[in-house]
Amino acid sequence: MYAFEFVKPATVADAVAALAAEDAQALGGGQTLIPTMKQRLASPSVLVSLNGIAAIKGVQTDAAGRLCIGGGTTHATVAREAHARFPGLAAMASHVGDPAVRNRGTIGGSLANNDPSACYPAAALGTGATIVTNTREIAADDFFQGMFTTALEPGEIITEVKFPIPTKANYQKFVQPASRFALVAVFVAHYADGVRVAVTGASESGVFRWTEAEAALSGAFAPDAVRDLSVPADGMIGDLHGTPEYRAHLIGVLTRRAVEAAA
Amino acid sequence: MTLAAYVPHNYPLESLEPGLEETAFYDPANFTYPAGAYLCEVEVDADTGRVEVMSFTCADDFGVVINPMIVEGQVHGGVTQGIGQALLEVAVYDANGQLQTGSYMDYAMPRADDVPSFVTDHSAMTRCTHNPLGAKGCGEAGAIGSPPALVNAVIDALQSGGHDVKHIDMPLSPARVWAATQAAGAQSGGRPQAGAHGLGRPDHAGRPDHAGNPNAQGGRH
Repeated sequence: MYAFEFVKPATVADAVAALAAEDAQALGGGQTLIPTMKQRLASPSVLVSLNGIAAIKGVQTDAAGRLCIGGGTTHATVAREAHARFPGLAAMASHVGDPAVRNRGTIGGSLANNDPSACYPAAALGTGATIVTNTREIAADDFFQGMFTTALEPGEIITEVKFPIPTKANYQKFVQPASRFALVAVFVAHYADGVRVAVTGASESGVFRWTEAEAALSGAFAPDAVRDLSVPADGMIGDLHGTPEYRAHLIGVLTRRAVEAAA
Repeated sequence: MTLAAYVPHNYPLESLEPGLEETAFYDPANFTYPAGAYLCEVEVDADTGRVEVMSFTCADDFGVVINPMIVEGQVHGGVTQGIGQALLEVAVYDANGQLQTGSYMDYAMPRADDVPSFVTDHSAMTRCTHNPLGAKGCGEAGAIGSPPALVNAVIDALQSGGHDVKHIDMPLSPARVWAATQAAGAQSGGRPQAGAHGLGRPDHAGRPDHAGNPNAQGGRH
């Protein structure tokens, strides 16, 4: 790890100001950034911790009935506090990494990083969530722009994520045996006006919606509705732990299981 | 005497070096020949290729067991290593010789939830005839017995589920197991069968939730 300056502002405005410094980098829970810095793959000059900003922590419900989670909220807090209102999201949060990761890692950090195997991008895209920053609101459909790439501008901070609460939802994660990140995972959310299906871990383009399955499940919300559908292996990730064909196959299996288990 | 040998004052340093050392070698008349039988029960999720070890029963004849606790520990550690070898661990190099599994993000070590609670039996203490203790080696038994039992159990589970799979190279990762079922082609008419044991059914069910419920055993097909 190379030397860096460390600041821990107490307000979003101060954080934004600190991020204006050259090569400054926002620090959420540090579950990706710190290991990357230890390996000397990243060398920010200033690390701006967002952990001291009380205004971007917590889980609430807004007037529109959406579950609003502060960008600096840890996975463990989401697992605990979203449980009654959005059990599908709480269950997902309770299976991110291990207890140490869940008590440090944040929803904002996960979404901003947009790791192609991370869980939160699937939940945000699978619910059509709105990502709120210090300057604007971004629809999940516009936010994710390919692996490790998002609509965020340099210095922009995720302050809140607003999740429309589905009538039923489920997240099925098939873990990579070593890292236990998602080898493939599928988030299915059933709403009165339709179904959304988001897939993480599988595509070289990062998280994506399986629109064919969404259409079929919006007609009939049952595993059989998607039994004959398949995702082409083209563009899927192929690595030590699975071929593109295997990942494409798992998308179908996990989607059916998510529909079966949705509650 | 030891104290005197290590406290050099008042010591005849001119005629004798301080210290007290003695080395003796024991040359065993022969190797020891422990023997054992290992039973493994697995469930295979044929849709994903994921293997779960439901129970592992290890019966070994280590001769006279002098310290049962450390012998038990040797078997537990050995079987865990064997499960790692059979299901998880592999070192992969690319064409340029670069190690691809250079960290635990890609090299899969067995963890606590990858292994069941083991059932062991060391009651068959047939004396070794050619050492005074009557003891036999126990260090490697678990690691030697477990991989074939586990791999055979997976093959048996796949076959009883209607998949004509005869061999899968270790480690039996989900991707490899699934690929093997695809290569073999699912045969029609495969019926669910109870029991997916490499070497026969263990006498005692390893997991309480399966005890007394034979239908719960075997592959999920």
